[in-house]
Amino acid sequence: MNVREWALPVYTLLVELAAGALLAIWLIRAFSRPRFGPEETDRLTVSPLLVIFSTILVAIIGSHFHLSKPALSFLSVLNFRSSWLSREVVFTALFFLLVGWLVYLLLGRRGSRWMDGLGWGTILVGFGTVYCMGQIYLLPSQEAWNHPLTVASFFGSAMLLGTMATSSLLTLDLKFTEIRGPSISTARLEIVRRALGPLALAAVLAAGLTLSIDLAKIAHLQEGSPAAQTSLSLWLGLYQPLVWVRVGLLCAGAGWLALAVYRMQRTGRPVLDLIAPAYLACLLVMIAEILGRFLFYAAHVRAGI
Amino acid sequence: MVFIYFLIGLSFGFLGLAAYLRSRQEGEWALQKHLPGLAAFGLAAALNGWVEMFLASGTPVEYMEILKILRMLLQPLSGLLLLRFGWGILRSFSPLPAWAVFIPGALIVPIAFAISYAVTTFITPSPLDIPIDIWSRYLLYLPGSMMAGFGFIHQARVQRKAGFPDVSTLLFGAGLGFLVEAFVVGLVVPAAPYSPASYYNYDRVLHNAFSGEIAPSTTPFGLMGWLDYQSVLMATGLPIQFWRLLSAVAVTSFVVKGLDVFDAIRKRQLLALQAERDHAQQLAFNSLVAARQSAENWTEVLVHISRRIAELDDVGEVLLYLVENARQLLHSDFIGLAIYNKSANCLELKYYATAEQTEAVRQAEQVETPLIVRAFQTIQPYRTGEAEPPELLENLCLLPGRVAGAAAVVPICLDITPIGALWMARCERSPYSETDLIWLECLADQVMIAINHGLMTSQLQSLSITEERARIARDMHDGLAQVLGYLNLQVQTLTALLQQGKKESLQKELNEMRQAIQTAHADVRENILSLRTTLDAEKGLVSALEEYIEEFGIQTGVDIDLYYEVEGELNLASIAEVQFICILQESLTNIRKHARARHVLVTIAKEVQAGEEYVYLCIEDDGVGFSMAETHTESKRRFGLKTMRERAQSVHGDLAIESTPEKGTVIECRIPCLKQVRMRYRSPISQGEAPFLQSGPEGVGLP
Repeated sequence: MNVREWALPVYTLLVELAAGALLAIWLIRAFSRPRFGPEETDRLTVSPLLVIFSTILVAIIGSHFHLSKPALSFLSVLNFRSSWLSREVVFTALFFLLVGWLVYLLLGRRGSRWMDGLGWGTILVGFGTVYCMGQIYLLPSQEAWNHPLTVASFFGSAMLLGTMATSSLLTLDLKFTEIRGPSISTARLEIVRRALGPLALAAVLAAGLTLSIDLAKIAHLQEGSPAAQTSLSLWLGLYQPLVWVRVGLLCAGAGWLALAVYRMQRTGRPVLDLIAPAYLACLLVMIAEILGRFLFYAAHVRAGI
Repeated sequence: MVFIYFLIGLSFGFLGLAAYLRSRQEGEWALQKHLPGLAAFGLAAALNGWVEMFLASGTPVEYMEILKILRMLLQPLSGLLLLRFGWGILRSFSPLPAWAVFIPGALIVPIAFAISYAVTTFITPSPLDIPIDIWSRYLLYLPGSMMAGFGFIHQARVQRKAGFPDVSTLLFGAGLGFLVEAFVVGLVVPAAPYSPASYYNYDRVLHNAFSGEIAPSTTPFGLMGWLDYQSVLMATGLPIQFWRLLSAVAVTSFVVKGLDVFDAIRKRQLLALQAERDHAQQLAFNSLVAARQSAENWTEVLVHISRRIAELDDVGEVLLYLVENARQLLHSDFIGLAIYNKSANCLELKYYATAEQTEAVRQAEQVETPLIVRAFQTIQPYRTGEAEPPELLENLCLLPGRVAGAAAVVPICLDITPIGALWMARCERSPYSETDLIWLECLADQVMIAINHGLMTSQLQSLSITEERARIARDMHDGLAQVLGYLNLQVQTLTALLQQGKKESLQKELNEMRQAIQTAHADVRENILSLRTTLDAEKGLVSALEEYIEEFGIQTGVDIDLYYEVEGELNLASIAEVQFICILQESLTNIRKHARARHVLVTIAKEVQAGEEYVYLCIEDDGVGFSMAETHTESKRRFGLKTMRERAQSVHGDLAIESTPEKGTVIECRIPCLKQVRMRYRSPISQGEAPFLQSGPEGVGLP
C-alpha cells in the first residue's frame, strides 16, 4: 500500500470512530440526564463532541489523498442517485455539518430542546455514512469484499472504536477538568464512573463481534471462487503474522479496558486512575483495527478483467 | 569503522557511568530523578555500539548471529530507555496548560497509524534487523532524543532564570546535542524497500494531487531521499557513523559537564543559604539590640517620670517631659494630651509635642476629632489600620498643612472614669503596632498617676497648712497665751502690792514679769524666725541654713559657728531637706531653752559608709548638758528628742545624742543622699546613648 491507499483506512476508520463515539456519548447523555440534569450532561458532552468534529475533519482531509483530483471531489455528489461513493460523500459532509451544528449549539448553550433529536439524527447520518462506505465495497469483481459481512465489519469497527475512544475521551476530559479547576463535580465523576462499565462491556462485545466476523469471512472465502481462495491464502500465508498481531491487540486492548474498569468498580479506585489504561487500550485496539483494514485492502483479489 | 563504533560505545558508556554515579548522590535538581534513566540509556547504547563494533570487525560467523540478535534487542531497548528519559524530562515542564491533556489524545491516531505501518513493513522480504533498526530510530530514538533535547533546553532556561548562566550554557549545549542526535540517529536510517526510509520508486501522488499530473516515479520523495546512509556519505564525504560519533561525544561532554554542575549548584546553594542565615542572624541581632535599646529607653523614661512624680515635681513639667519623650520613643510627629473639662463638657488640649516644640496650651483648645472623642467615650484604645478612611485621620496631627497617615489613641482613666485622652500621630502612612499601643497605654497610666499625685500634693499642702496653724496655735497657747495669762495675774498682784505699799515685793514681781516677757519675746522671735526660714528652689538649702543660724545667733546672743564642709549641693531629697532643717531648728531651740550655752558649733559635712553617701549634721554646745538617764523621766525633753529621732528615721537616717551634765551636748544626725546617677540623669533619647551602659543595675533604686 502506498500513501494513496493508506488514505482509505484513515478515512474509513476515523468516520467509523466518529459515528461510534457519537452513539456512545449520546447514549450516556440520554441515560445520565434524568438523574444528573441537563447542565451536567451538556458539559460532559462538549469535549467529546469537539474531538468527534475534529476527527471527521481529519478523515475528510485524509480521504482527499486518495483522490486523483481532490479539488474536484465535490463533483462526486452529482451521482448521488446511482453511486454509493457519491452517497458516502454526501453523508460524510452532512455528518460533518450536523456534528458542527451540535457543537455550535452546545458551546453556545442554545436550543437544548433541539439537541436530543438533532443528536439522534446525526447518529443516523453517521451510521448511514458507514453503511454507504460498506456498500461501496460490495463489488462482484471482488470476492473477498462482496458480502454483507463487509458492511457488518464496518459497523463492528464503529462500535468497537467508538466505545474505546469514548472511554479514553471521558477520562482525559476528567483530567482536563481537574487541571482547569477548581475541582471535578461529584456528578461528573459519577456519570463517568457509571458509563465506563457499559462501555467496557460494549467494547468486549464489539471486539468479539469483529473477530467473529473475521472468522465468518474466512469461512466464506474458503467456500468461494479461486479469487476468494487466493485472498484467503494471502490472509493465512503472507499476512498471517499481521492477522495474529491484530487478534492479539484486539483481545489485549478490549480485555485491558474491561479488566481496568472491573478493578476500579471493585476496589473503588479513583476514575482518574483509568486514564493510562483507557488510553493504551484504545491505542492497541486502534492499531488492531488499522491492521484489520490493511488486511482488508491488501488481501483483495480482483476477479475477471 | 570499528574504531568509530568503539568510540561511540565508549562515549555512551562514559555518559551512562557518569549519570549513574551522579544519580547516587543526593540533590534537588529537577534532572536528578531522571538520571537513572539516562544512565540506563547510556549503558544500553554503549553496549549496542560495541556490538556494532564486533559486527563490523569481521567476527566469526558462529558469533555473528548471536551478535545480530543482541543488536536487535539492544537497539530498541536503548531507544526505549531514551524515550522514557526524554518523556520524564519533558514532563518536568510545569505548569502545563490544561489543554495539553488532549495532546496524547490528538496524537493517538498518528501514533496508531505509524505503529501499524511499521508493523506491516515486517512482512517485506528485507532482513528482520532492517525494520527493527529503522523503526527503533523512527519511533524511539527520534521522539526520545527530541524530548530529551527540548527538556535540556527547558532546564537551561530554568537555570538561567535561577542565576546560573554557566550551567545554563552547558545544559543548552546538551539540549542541542540531543537534537542533533535526533537527526543523525533518529532520522537517517538504512535503505529499505518501503517509505519513508529510502523507497525511491514511489509515485508522488501527494505532490501532484491537485493538478492531476503524475510525476516520474523514480524521483526521490521529498527529503526522504537524503535520509539514508548512502545519501549522507555522498553529501558529506563522511559516513553517518562519524556524525553519530560526533553527536554522541557532544551529548556526552555537555551532559557530563552539566552533571558536574551539581556540585557547583550545591556549593552555591550552600553559600547562598549561609549568606542568608548570616543576614538573618545579623538582622535578628540588630533587632535585638534595637529592642533592648528601646526597652532601656522606655524604662529610663518611665522611671524618670515616676521619680519626678514621687518627688512631687510640678505636674505640668512632668507631663511636658512625658509628651516630649513619648513622641521621640514612639517615632511620632505629634503627641497630644487632652483633659476633660466637666463644666464645658468637652476635651481640651493641654499639652502637645512636635518635632519643633513641646508646650502646654494656655488657652483652652477644644478637641473634637472623632477618633479621640470615640476612644474617650468608649474607654477603648484604638489604632488606625492600613486601609483607614482619610476622614478618620483628619485633625489628629495638629500641624499646619500636614495630615496624619497613622494614629493611635488611648483614654486616660481615673479608676473607671475617663478624664482625658492621649494620642499620637505620624504623617507617614505606616500604622502603629500593637506594642506601640501598649506603650502609649503605659504613658497614659503615668499621666493618670501624675495627675493623681498632683491632686494628692494639693491635699497634703492644705493639710500641712492646717497642721502648721494648729502648731502655731498650740505654741501661742503654751507660750504667749500662758505668759499673757501669767502677766495678767502679775498685774493684779502688782495692783494689790501697790495698794498695800509693799515696794520690795512689787520690785520682785516686776523683775519676774520682765523675765517672763523676755522669755516670751525670745520664743515669739524664734517662732517668727522658724516660720521665715522656708525652703525655696531659688535660695537653696545652704543659704537658708546660713541665714537662719546667723539670725539665731543675733536673737539669742549665743556665739554660733557654722562649718559647712560640703562641695556643691547637699544632694538630699526634698522631703529629707525639710526634715534636716526641722532637726536643726529643734536642736537650736533646745539649746536656747535648756542648755544655757555660750558657744554652739554646727557642722555640715558628707560621709560615706558602706558605699552609701550621707549628709552629716553635728550640733555641739558647751551648755549645762543633762543626764541621759533623766531624759527617760523628763517627758517634755524626751518628747522633743524622740520627735527629732523620728524625723531622721522617716528619711532613712539616724540621730544620736550624747550629753553629760556641765559638759554640754552633742547631737549627730546622718541622712542618706540621693544616688549619684539620679543627679546625673540625662534624657536617654536626646543623648542618644544607652543608659544601662552608664548607670549599672543599682541605677533605678531609690534611697
